Amino acid sequence: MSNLNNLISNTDYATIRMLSTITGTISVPAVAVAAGSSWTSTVNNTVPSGRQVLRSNITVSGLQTFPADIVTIDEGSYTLYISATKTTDTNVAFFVYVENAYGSTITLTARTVSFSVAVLLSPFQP
Amino acid sequence: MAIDGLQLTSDYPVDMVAGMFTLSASPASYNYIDLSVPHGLPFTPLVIGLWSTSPTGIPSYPYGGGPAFSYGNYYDVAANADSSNIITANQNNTGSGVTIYHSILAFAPSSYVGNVVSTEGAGNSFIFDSDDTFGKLVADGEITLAQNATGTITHNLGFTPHAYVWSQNTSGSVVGQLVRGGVDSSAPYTYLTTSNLVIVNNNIDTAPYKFYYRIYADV
Repeated sequence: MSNLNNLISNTDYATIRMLSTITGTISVPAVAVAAGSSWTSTVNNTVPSGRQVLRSNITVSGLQTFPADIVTIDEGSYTLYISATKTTDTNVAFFVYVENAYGSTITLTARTVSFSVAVLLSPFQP
Repeated sequence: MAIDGLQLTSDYPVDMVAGMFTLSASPASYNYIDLSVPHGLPFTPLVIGLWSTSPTGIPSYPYGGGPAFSYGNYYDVAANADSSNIITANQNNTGSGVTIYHSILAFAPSSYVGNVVSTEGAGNSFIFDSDDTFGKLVADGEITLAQNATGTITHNLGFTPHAYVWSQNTSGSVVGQLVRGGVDSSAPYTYLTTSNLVIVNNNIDTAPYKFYYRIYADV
C-alpha cells in the first residue's frame, strides 16, 4: 500500500505514457448542403498498434479550444460534429460531419477545425 | 528544454492510476443497459476510458462517441462513478444487438490523502522508459460553481495544455467526465487558453456543481 498524495512517481501504480502527439486541420467550407444530405471530411493518422487512450484538444475557429475527443457545435440550422477517434488498430481519424436533417438546404459556416491529440499508452494489456 | 518536451521531470508528478476496470454489457437493438460494478476505492474516482464493440478493445472509441456517427444510428456509451460503483450507460440505437466492452482507468481526486492498493500488477509496470514521455500533471484540483457561474483555473504555461474535467451535481453523488466539448447554453462546458482552463456551469440544474480537473504539460 502506498500513499498517493504528493508522490512524484511510484512503482506501485500503473501510469499512462505518451507515445506521440498528432495534429491536423480540417476546413469547413461555406457550402450548401441539400436537405437529407451530409457533408463530411476525414483526416487519417497512423499510430502504433495497441490499446491507447486519446487526450484531445479540438480548436474551432471563432470559438475556443475544447479539451475533448468529441465536440459538437450548434450552428443554428445544423450541428457540427467533430471527433478524434481510433477507427482501426493503427488509425486515428480526425472527423468533421454535418447532417442536414431539416427540410431545406442549409449553408455551412466556414470554420477551421484544428486537432491536437496526445496518443497515450493505456496500461491495460492488449 | 520546455516542460512540454521533457520526458520526465521531478517538478511534477506523473499520472498514478488508482484503479483499472474492465466490464461489458450487451444491449439489444434499440435498447440500453445500465451496468454498475463496485470499485472498492475509498473515494469517488475520476474515471476515463475507452469502449469497443470488440473484446480485443481494438478499435476503441471515446465515451460519448462511436463508429456509427450518422444521425439516428449510433451507440451512446458513458462511464461515471460514485462512492461505491463504476457506473456505465450502454445505449444501442442500431438495428442489431451489440456487446460493449469498457476499459476504464480511475484517478484519485486531488483532495484524497491516503492509501490504495497497488495497480502496478494489473497492467503496465511503472518503469522509466526513455522511449516515451511520462505525463506531467501540472495542476489538479476542484472548484464548485453556482448555476451559470464561470470558474477560471490559471496555469500560465504559455501554451495550450491538455486537460480532463469531471463534474458532479452537489445534490447527487455521481462524478462523470465532461466528454463532449463545445459551447452549450444549458450544460456545463470547458475550454482552454494558453493561460487558463475555464469552466462554465451553464446548467438547467439549480444546484451547484463541483468540477474536478487535471491539467497536463504534454503537447
